[in-house]
Amino acid sequence: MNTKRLIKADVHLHTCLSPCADITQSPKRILEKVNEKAIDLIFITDHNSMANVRACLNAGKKYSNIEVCPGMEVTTREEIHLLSLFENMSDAENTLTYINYYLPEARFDKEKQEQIIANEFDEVEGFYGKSLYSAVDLDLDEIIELIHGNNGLAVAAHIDRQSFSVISQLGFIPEKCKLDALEISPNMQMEDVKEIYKNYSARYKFVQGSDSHSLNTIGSVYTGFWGMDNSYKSFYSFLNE
Amino acid sequence: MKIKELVEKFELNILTDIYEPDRGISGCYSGDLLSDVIANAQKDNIWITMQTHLNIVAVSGLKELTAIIIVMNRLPDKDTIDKAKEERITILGSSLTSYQTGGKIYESGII
Repeated sequence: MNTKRLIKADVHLHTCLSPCADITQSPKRILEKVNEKAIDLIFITDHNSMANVRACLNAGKKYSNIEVCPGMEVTTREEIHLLSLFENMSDAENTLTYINYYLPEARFDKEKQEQIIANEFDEVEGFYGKSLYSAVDLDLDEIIELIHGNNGLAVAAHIDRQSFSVISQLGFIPEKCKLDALEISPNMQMEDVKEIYKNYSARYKFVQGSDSHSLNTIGSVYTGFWGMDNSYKSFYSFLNE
Repeated sequence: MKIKELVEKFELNILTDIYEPDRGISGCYSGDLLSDVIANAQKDNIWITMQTHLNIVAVSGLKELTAIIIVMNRLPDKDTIDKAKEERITILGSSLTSYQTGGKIYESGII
């Protein structure tokens, strides 16, 4: 019998790789917290890089109840934060190749920058060289096309925030924009979305991500949907139904 | 000062056309966040920006701005130029930075 159940997904999680994230936000501890909070599906979305995604996938292997998927929070040329969400590493890495090529070479003192590459055992493997604060030299539409070309989902991040959101940068969402969903930050209530964003609710689905930069915010909010299971495919169907 | 005088005085590049050469300038606003420009630019302002996205045309129309000056020789996409021509929005280009462009315009008496 095919029955759907409520799946809790977090589409927006940073690790200690992101320069703004807490040092304790390691792959191992993130997974422990996600398990404790009974989140079923997570996307690892550091800024402009996936250097800690494999460690998170490895750390997730001991939890059969959690699906860990690769992702990235890309900064577009307009300085819009765009979540890219993927089913597998192959699609994710194809996208990353382009993003990395178009991310400027700006380098800082590696250790001061605290862009920590960690393994699944809570150990530091190294520090990421390029500044992940930079913007990728591709525009919003080009990056959406790149993500779609690699079977991924493109979600505008924290559209209610006054910085780095598609609305703060562009004033409004362009009519032909092929976003798959809009994400609201934990500062908003999901039930207020339809009223506040009534111009967009007919065109786009809304999701909520924790945008966790530290362990204590994991599980504070999530996107709930009815799915057959906690796979990427279920989430994909939810956004495209 | 009128828009055509401004273009001549500062040797601005004309990226679309000057649709209303005799249109007056009420002041100037500089900004790259379109939400900020929507909130704070005034009618008949010149707008200095490095944004090249299609939405600049809509913002300029909405706020009834005199012209957009895109700085640092950045070139808008074809979509943006096409839309601006269709909507008769004047887009100019400058080789200078926002700071330098704004400084020169301020110095010329437009405040």
